[in-house]
Amino acid sequence: MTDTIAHTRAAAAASERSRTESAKEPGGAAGAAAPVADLELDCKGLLCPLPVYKTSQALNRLAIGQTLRVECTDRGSLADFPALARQRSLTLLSASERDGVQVFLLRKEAA
Amino acid sequence: MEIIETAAGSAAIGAATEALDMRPPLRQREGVAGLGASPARRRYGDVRELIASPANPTPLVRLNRVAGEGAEAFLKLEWMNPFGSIKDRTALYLLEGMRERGELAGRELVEATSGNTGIALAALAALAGIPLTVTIPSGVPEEKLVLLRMLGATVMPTPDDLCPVDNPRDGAIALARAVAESPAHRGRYAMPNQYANPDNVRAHYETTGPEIWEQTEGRVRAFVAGYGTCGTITGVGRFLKERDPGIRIVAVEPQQGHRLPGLKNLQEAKAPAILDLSVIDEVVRVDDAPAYAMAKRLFREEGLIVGPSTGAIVQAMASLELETGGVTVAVSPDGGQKYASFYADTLGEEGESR
Repeated sequence: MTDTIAHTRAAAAASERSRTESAKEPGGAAGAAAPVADLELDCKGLLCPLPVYKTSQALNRLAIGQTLRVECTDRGSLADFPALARQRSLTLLSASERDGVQVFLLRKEAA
Repeated sequence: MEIIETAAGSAAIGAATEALDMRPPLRQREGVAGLGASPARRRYGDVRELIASPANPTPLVRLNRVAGEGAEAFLKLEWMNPFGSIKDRTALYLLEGMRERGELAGRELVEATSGNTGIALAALAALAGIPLTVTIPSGVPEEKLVLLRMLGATVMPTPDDLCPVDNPRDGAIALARAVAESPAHRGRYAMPNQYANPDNVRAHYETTGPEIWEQTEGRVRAFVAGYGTCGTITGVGRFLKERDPGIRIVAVEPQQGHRLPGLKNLQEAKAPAILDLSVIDEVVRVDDAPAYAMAKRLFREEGLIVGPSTGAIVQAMASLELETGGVTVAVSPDGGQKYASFYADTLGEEGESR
């Protein structure tokens, strides 16, 4: 299976720039002022529970305090990610939806 | 039944599988030098020819000590299959059916399994040059995960609490389905789906059932197997009921939260679609402790190195009021080697035999 994770801040920043350029108005917390994440995960086109599974795997690669940005298109994610945050010592910094894509920003906390 | 097509030459696992349909079947491969296969001498051209069938049945071994006075009880040793379990039959039928329907060409495989189906699928897929991903529920011993990885399978361990919205015990099935059906994967994965695939039942209707009938010379009066994917109980049950509706078909169900890989408690897990309750006469519930105690007795009193599920199945059989003069057959789905870590937990300090 192929992960489409951008590992570097630079890649994350580039992706963030291109996203915010096409969407000028700040819609929700993940809008123009959205912080750059340490890791990005593209779960678009993946059905539940794959986004949660891949997010769980990706979290193992993050240090405490680092952030993860996940894009999903399965609407089950709207219920799954808050539940995941409660289970896995995460803070769900923001959750938003635009053009059928849900964007979650998570921060890994000390267990 | 034909043998599955295999990679010609040395195509690596994980290589592109587009050419699958052009590969010649190994068994009839031309130009193989040296000794040909001779089943009479137990010499084979390919490990797949060892998978049990009525022409090459797994052994029935009489239980002389644990089954109770006067009982004519036999255990069918499914771990004598080449990949180590009853699932060799299932995996062969699943893949063969998919190949016949054209579902394999150019695709990878994904399946949810507690290990044994995965191990058999992984071996067969490796021989056919097809990459395999398995989703594994929690509670599967490390030994099985290592075997799967040795065979080249991609292993996705599925924690019980993965999907808070779904039934946690079925998380591995949901995950495998998501891999197979996610639009992002563009149909790249084919899922045998042993829980719903009639070929799982057919494997036992065409092989395990007829073997038991032949091996007992038609004297089988009761058959005992576990609730798992329900392929065995449904397939064997259906075959034996057609021979004689009076044959008792007994299903074994573990406790909730059990530690008996391969078995399912149907209160906590969804009943598999292939389960046919009409062929089942009774259900016996067995808790972990008596199942493990019986496994230990099978090791020590019968010399049978069985897996924990066999302990549960034989424990259920021992609790039955069996008719005199009739033969009872119980299934031993797999052997004990893969559960060393589980059994270690039931033993005392080294040097003690308790």
